[in-house]
Amino acid sequence: MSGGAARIAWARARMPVLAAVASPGGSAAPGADGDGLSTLADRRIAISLPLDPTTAVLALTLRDAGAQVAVHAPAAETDDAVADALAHAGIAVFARSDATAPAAAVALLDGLLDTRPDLLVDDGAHALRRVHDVRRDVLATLRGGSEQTTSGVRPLRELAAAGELAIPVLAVDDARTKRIADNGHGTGQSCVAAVLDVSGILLGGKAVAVAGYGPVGRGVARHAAALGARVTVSEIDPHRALEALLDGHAVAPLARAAQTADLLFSATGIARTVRLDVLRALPDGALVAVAGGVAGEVDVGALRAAAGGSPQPLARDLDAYRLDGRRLLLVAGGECVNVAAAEGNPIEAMDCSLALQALALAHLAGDGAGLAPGLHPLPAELDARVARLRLAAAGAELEPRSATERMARDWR
Amino acid sequence: MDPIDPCPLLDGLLRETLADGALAGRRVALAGELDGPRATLAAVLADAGAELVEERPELAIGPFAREQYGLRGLVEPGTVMGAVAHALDAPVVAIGCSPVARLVFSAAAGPAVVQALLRLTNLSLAGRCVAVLGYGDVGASVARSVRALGGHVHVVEEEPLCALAAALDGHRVSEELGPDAEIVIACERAAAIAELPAGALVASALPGRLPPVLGVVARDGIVHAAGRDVLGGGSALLSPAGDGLAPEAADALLTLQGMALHRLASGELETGVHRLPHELEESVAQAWLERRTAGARTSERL
Repeated sequence: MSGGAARIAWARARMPVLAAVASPGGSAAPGADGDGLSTLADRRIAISLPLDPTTAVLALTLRDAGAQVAVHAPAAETDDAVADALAHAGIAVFARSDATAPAAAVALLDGLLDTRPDLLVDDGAHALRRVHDVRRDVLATLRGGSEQTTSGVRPLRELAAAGELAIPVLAVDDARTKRIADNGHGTGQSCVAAVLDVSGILLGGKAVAVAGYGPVGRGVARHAAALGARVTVSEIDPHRALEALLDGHAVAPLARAAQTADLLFSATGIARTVRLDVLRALPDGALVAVAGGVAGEVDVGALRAAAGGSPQPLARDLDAYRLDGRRLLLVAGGECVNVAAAEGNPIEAMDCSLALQALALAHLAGDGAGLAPGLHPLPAELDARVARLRLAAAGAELEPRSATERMARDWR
Repeated sequence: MDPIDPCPLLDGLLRETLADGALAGRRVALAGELDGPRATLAAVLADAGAELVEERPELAIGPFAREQYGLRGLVEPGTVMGAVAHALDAPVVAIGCSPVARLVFSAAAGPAVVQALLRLTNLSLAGRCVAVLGYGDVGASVARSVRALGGHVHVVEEEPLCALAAALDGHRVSEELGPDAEIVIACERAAAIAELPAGALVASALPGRLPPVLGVVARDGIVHAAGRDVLGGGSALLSPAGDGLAPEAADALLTLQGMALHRLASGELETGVHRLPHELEESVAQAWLERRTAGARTSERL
């Protein structure tokens, strides 16, 4: 078995939730009360997600449910060994880690869209934006989509508000199970771990600045603090800032928090969060990384101009820029660090998220086939089903609802 | 590696200490791989005039087998008990019980073990049942890191003082390993593969805690054998000499070893087991405290 195939097999054996939603009704697993993914038989499904072993497992699971699956990922988010193994398994793959030139990147995305998908799983709304801006021909067959990330749901919500979203799209990122298991625990853990892998620093006693205290920022702050760091959070929202304060973190504007930071994380999902004035405030040897993230969250262009040239590569995924006589260490070129410099979110987190994605697709092809164009939430019962399956996989049991409690709820 | 300033203590405090020439012309052996921070230690010793040798050293930083007779002094990274065997021939400085060494393992062992586990498996500790075998400095540090990352810790410890410490720290403690552990980390206590729960993911934090296993490679760095997934085929993630720790922590530990070597080279110690004097421990702690952060390093550089 190749290294890519072995890692896919490793992940597949550790994704019980996705396996359970794919198993048809009658499965003994608690919570497996659906009819599997039968509505997906013979559907053409396009997946545009970071190409790691868990995405490969989703592709294989959908294929096994009878769908025709094609997979795409941007160059920086492509694991070539996994891409090769997936192609070897008969899945159409449009992803290469060396396809960094703009023309090559667009050609791969267009290759995915040329498969005339019925359904589309998107990440960062990259494929859906291309469909709406340039490839409107795809709308002739495309019946629905689902979006994986916070940074993708945001522009789709704007598009929907303007009445320009041409198909129904399920905001999987808004699902509660996704927020809890993936954005908070998964992304937080894997982004902190990826920075430690790349840099080798000991977090104990270090000062860490975290920009943004949404689910990802909260997870990053929690995991950094868990490993001994002193965390300072910067937030524009007073409620989130208050939450950070009461969670035990300091709260300060980013340019001030940066002055003493050994490590600065951007977790806002907003471009140019880490501006040049923030970078100038950092001490010598400070690390800068992005968790979650959108393109340009660190203003790398301004940094490069101010540093007067190319950075010095120090290690894999670590570049040193010289700014005002100090060295700043940018991790993974300012790309989302767990995807670019590690294997993405932990398998258990992706198990939940991709089970939600599979149910979203089955819903779009089944009960939700009549949904109007626009952005829709994932039905709450599907969200709860995934949470129940995850609990069952861990051997945890829910308190059964009592008759009184049911009545209280029904009468409310 | 900390790419900017990997070993500020070896390059600072130790280099300054060795400038008195005590090591000039002495034959010195270093156990272990000469990579990472230990390569810096070797360079600092060589710059101080020491001749680094593999055969018949006068002075050595262990662990070393008893056959290395003729030693005039040994630095033992492990415990005093480990050093006693050597004590008949020459002075031995034991680092294992040094306050700074204990601090190093307390602060850095848990993060290093958890980090290796996450990197090699891409799994999560959140919500998982994790058994920690043994509750010394390493076991306590591992238990703390696992719990902080959402794991449910179960400490296996027979020794009453250590078991009490684990219980007072809020961990579930028992003398035997139960069947519900999904991940088992052998720290101060060893385990036989057969007594580990079927299907468990098993890691060894310290050498000699798991027997070597043969099996098929499940993923890079993981061997599937006898129904268990074993990290690194049972080889340890850490060593008492500082392997596997973050470079910053290894820097402090190796500086301590180098300072001990300096004392032996100065010829003041009699045959027997010695600890480092408290002032020396404090000088290493003070240097570490001052060079700990990126900000602290800035002032000297500019």
